[in-house]
Formats: sequence, C-alpha cells, structure tokens
Amino acid sequence: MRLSLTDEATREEIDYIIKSVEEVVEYLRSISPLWKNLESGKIPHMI
Amino acid sequence: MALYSEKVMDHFRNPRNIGSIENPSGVGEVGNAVCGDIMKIYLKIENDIIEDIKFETFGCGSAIASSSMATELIKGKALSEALELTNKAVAEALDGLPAYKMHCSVLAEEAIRAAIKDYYDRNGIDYDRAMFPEPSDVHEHEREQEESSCCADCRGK
Repeated sequence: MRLSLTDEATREEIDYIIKSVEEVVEYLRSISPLWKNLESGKIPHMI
Repeated sequence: MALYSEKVMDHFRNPRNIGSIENPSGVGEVGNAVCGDIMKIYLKIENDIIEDIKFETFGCGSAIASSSMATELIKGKALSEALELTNKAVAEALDGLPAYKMHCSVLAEEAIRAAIKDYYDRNGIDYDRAMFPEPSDVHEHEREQEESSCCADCRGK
C-alpha cells in the first residue's frame, strides 16, 4: 500500500485516512488465521 | 465497469461464516503469506453432513469473498456434494472474478478439500487419494525460493 500526500492535502483528509486505515486493519486482523498466533507468539513472523 | 461484482463486494465487506470452530471435525489451511493469501476452513461434521463451517482468511478482497461464498455453498451439504464444489462454481456464484483473481477461488476449493481430508485422516476413514491432490502452493515458496514467484498461479504471470 502506498499513501501519497500533496501540498493540497488537508488535515481533515489526513485524519480521515489514518482513521480508515486503523478500521480496515482491525477488521482484516479479526478475520485473519494468522493474527491470533502472531499476537500470542505462537508464530514469530508472517513469512 | 466496476472491477468487482456487487456480490464480491458484499461477501468481502460482510463475510458469511467468519470465525473458527472449537473442537472441529476437520481443519484445512492452504496458501502462504508470500503469495499473499492464506485460507483456513473449519468443519463440524455429523453423519457425513457439514453441520457447521467457519473460515478465516488472510488475503485480498477476492480471497475473502471466495472463502465466504464457498462456505455458504456447502454449509448443510453432504461431504460427497462438498467435494464436487469447483473453483469455477465459486467464481460463478460471485458473478465472476477478474482473471488474475481466479486463483482465489482455487484456494477456496482447495481449503475445503484439505479440511475434508483432515476429517477423514482424523477418523481413519478410507478415501481415494487421487481425490485429494496436494494443494498447489502450500509452503512451495520454501522449496522454490530461487524463483521469483511463489506458486503456480504467480508463475503464470
């Protein structure tokens, strides 16, 4: 994923993307077969 | 035209049968993180019927939608019917996938087969081994790190 900023980007837009990415990551982690194992240390890394 | 059908978007955003099953009858996990997709299917089987099915997927929207649709297609079905599920049927039920995302539906078919095979193995049930070819890309990257791609689908690119 690549996020790019221009000098036209507003603080509101930046806050919006930060919030959106947080929500999406939380959702994807909740349905991941790997995340629980990563968090509990059962597997050391993804790859 | 939109990249993804409405059904793909719906199953991506509101996946059916998401989660895991405690004390499952069988579990199948296929794919690898290098390729970018891992699917894990949990089955609760009673009298050869899939009483319950859950899945967890690490991957793109098509992978999540494919596994969601696949679970919906075989929930409540007999194992013999579930084994007939093809990746094409999964893709068609989603009103199609872009060609370069068809491997997602292949993973869904393979994950279900792997879970049913696991159930047979756990219970010492005999089966025709030809029915269960090795999933195409499980940990294949470990053997083929020299190559720039990790699975049969990626190599085709």
